[in-house]
This record gives sequence, C-alpha cells and structure tokens, in this order.
Amino acid sequence: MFDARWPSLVVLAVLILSGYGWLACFRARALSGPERLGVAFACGGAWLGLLAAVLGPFELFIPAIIIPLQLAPLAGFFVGRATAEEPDEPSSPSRAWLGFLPVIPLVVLSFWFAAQRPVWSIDAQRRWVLKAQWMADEHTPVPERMAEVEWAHAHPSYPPLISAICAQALQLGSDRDEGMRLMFPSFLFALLAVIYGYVRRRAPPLIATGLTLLLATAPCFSVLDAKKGSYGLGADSVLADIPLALFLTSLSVFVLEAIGSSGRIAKTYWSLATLIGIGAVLTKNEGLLFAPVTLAIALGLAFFVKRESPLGRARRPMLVVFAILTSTSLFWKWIARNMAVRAGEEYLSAGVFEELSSGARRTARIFDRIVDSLADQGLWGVLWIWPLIWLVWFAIRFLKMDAEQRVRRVLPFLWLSAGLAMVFGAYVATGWKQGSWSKLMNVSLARLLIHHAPLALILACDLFTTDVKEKPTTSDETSYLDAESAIG
Amino acid sequence: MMKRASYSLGLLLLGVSLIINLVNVQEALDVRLPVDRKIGSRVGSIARRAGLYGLSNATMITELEELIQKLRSEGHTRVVFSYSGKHSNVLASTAIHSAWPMQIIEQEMPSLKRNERLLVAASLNASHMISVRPGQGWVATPVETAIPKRKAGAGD
Repeated sequence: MFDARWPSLVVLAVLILSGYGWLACFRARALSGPERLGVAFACGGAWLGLLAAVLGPFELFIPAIIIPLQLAPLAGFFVGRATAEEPDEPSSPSRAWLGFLPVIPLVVLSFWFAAQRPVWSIDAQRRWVLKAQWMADEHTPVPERMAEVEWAHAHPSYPPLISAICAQALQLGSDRDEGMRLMFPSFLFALLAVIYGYVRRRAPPLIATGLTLLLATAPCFSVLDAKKGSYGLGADSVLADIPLALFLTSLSVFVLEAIGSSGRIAKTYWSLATLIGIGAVLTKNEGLLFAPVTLAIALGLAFFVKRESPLGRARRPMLVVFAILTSTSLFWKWIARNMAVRAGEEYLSAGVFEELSSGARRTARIFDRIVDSLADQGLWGVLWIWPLIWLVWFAIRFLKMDAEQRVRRVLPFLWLSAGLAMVFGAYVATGWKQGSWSKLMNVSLARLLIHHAPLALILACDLFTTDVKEKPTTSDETSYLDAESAIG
Repeated sequence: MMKRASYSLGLLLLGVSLIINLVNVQEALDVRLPVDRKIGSRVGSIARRAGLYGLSNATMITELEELIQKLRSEGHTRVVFSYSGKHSNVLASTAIHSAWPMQIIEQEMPSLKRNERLLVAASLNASHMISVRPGQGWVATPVETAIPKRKAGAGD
C-alpha cells in the first residue's frame, strides 16, 4: 500500500520546497507559521501549473525536466541571503502554530477520509485523473489525440494545474487510485492557513482561530462528500473546486495586503498575487475568467480614490498583474484551442451571449435556487450570514469612513458579489445537455459556490478589525495601515 | 465603549456560529462515518468503490475493470461502452478511468437490438462493444461478429 502512495508524498514535498524557494525569491518574510507553509504549497502548485502550460505543448512534461525547474526557485535562498536587509516585523511561528492547533483535527479528518475513499466522483475519474493519465503518458496536457470529438467528455481544454500534480505522481510510479488521494486535503490545509494568516494580521489571535474554524467546520469544505446530487464536495475529493478556492482567496488576500503596504513589502505581495493568480487561472475554467476579473474590479475601484492614496498608488501594479493574468488566460485558451469541447460548454465563446438572451426567462428560478443553497446549513453551516452582518455594519459605519476606507473595505464584498453573479450568469448562459440548467445546478451549484465562499470570512474579519479610523477632524495624517498595525 | 460592545457582540455571534457549524459537522459525520468505516476495510479499492455507490452487486465494478484490463492487455485501443439504465454514468466513469490509454466511447442505445448496436460500434471504429448480458455479466463482443449478418442482410 505504501509504495502506491509514496510518489504522491514526494510530489507534495517538491511542491512545498519549490514554493519555499519562491517565498525566498519574493523575500516574503512577513509570512510565518501555517500561513507560510500553506502559501508555499500554493506557490509550488501554481509554478507547476505554469510549467505544465508552457512546456506541455512541446511534450516536455517529464520528470527529468520538470522537477529541476520546479526546484530552481530554491536559488532564491542564496539570492535572498546575499541581499539580506532588515527583517520584516518579527512574527513568532510557534505562536502562530499554537493558534492554528484547533483547526488541525479537521484537516487530519480530511486526510483520513481521503485515505479511505477511492477516486470515485465522476469529474475526478473522467476529467482530472484521466487527464493526468494522458499527461503522464504523452507528456503534454494537449495531445493531438484529444482533439477528437469522442474525447470531449474528458474536457481536454480544461486548465492543467490539478492534472499536472496528479500526472507527476503517476510519472513517479503512483497508482491512479490510491496514489491520488492524499494530495488533495493539502489544499484545504493551505486555504485555512491563508485565511488564518490574513485574519491574524488584522484581529486578535482568538478571532483568527475562530474564523478559521468557521471555515473548517463548514460541512461542504471538511466532511460532506455529497448532497442533492452534488458529489465530491469535501476536500478529500480529487477535484479542482477547493484548490480554486485556495488560489482565488489567496489572490484576494495578497491584493488586499499589497494595497495596504508600501515599498519592498508591497512588491512582495504583488509578486505573490501574480504567481498565485496564475495558479487560479490554470486551475479551472472559472479561474481563467475570475482571476483577471478580481484585478479588474480592484483596478476599477482604484479610480474612485485620489491618485496619492494607498489604493490610488496601487493602480500601476494592479494593471501589471491584471495584464499578466489576462495574458495567461488567453495563452491557455490558445494552447488548448484544438481540444474538443462539449456542445453547450464553451462558456468563454461568443455564443454565450445568445444563450444569455435565451436563458433570461429562468433567472428568477436560478436566483431562488442560489439563495436556497446559501441558506442550507447542512452545506455551509452559518458561513453566509457573515456577509449580511458585514453589510449592516458597513452601512452603519459608512458615514464615519473616508472615501479611501469605504472603497478598500467594500472591495472584498464586490469580489464576493461578482463571484456569485458569475455563478448566476453561468446557469443563465449554459447550454449544457440542451439547456438542462436545473440538473446542472443540482450537480454543481455547491461546488461553484465553494470557489468564493472563503471571502465571507475576509468580510467577517473586517468586523473585528478594531481600527476603523474616523474621518480626520484634526491634522491626523496617520495612514490607515499605520493605525491598523499600531492597534493590532 | 461602542466599539467594545460591537466587538463583544461579534465575538458572541462567532461563538454561536461555531456551535451551529459543529452541530452540522456532527450530523454530516453521523451519515458519513459508518459508510467510510465500511469501505475502509481492506477489501480492495474497486470493491470499496462498488460499495460506495451502493450497488447491489459489489462485484459489478470489479468485473468491469477486469474485463477492461484484459482488453487493454490484448492491445485494443478503442471500445464502445453500451449502456442504459441506472448507474450508467458511474459505471462509464469507472470504465473510462481504468481504461486509459484505451479509449472508451459511451453510447446510450437502449432501443436498439444487439446487432444494431454492434453496427453502431463498428461505425465508430471500435474493436469491441462492452455491455451487460443477463446471466453473463459484463461481455466484450467483437464488433466484427455483426458484420457478416449485415452483409447477409444486404444480399437478401
């Protein structure tokens, strides 16, 4: 049994090592404890996805080439040492781990589930692991063979990151069933760690632990494998939904951190946002679109504030990251241009507008279904009540905030709203199985909502950030972030 | 004072939310744990998967995978999976997952006779058609067995 699984453990180790290399390259010293490990894993995954996208078309997805390239960022340790400056604000990894301890049992439970269950959900078998098998054998995510229409059910045009991770394990001798299982709860760990790190920088440690637990105990993230026909919800499934939630949430977190920082630290966060954003683009079709949209929304808001304000100053780096993510999306669409696509599932094509107009009749029913799902405690616990509480809080405090604060605080809410709007739009526009939108909602709604759900906690964190600076009535010129760090 | 009150209220809400979530987790575990304990016994992943789907015949998936492995080892590259009825999607997924690099083409052909289905398979350049036959379980029929009948029919 062990020999079927050890390659997946090697892959995990390589991803983490590679990610630590990137953290050294970016000089991300402010991240510590579980957050550092989680972000390293995410960076390693994003880097592997990028390598698969760039080298795959040349049939170079082979361990002898990919693994050295994966580990190349480790050179960052030497570069970082040579240019060592003063450390960022000191943080205690042991304290950070201590606050994260209550979350660990839920992650362990997810690993236990994963070890028990075979690769079993339809999407895992037909798409992600199947793609991993052809990537492992043919050394490319887009072999000519997959352009045949009979392979359309395998969605060969899907982005390569998840299958690249599985393919690497297969190339190292892993079993296509048992070898796949243990890798995926790692994405849940990383997601929880990112949320924990973000909240911990803004609110008391008890709140960081509490809010992270709130996500960890949302049943569809941790323990629920199926509900109402939607299979493979939990983190033990070999699916791309929780990985995409990790990348999208991390992208949001690092954009927020970058906006609130300056100088070298801001550069670090923008670099992390770029790499992680590429990971989001290359994880799933939804990420192809939503990662650039995340930056576009932030960029749009930045034009509502003064140029010299922190958000205003962030316009240029935002534009750069937006351009990189959009280019990566277009690049993947170009790479996969010949791959077979199932009828009614080309969401990014011009045909989507036709579908939107014909699907307009069902909008009320789709809206009701989404609201019902958000209110389903068996799926989410009470996760979705927090954006509503935040909305009330924001309305009450609105007049006491200056323009910059309003815009920055509303940003995660807009991301969340845009995410939900995109889910809504997908069901309006779908031509899946001749327009069986209701059946499609049964099998996929909860999984699509998972992508954006962690943002509810970013909003909840706002409620506990005890730094709402009132509108300056004196010559108080302390920046928002300075006030924040002074109190926090 | 106001800030402290709102902070305390938030903390209270967080505590209540956590309790509600834990109750929901407990309920989900009550459903899931017995199933996972059952499939966690060392009876082989394929049989476990069959149990997971709640199939009455736990050997159904095992036999399907064995048949696919046999076809694959014989060097066939393209096979039609003919199906109709319950669990077809699940079984087809299992077939596709375990067949690579052999290609499985799914064809739902409930209203066609056996020979007609074989002809469809032949038109798809498949070497075999996998289907379930009453009393025999999974059967892989070479598509060429249908062609003489077609020729005879054409001659009539």
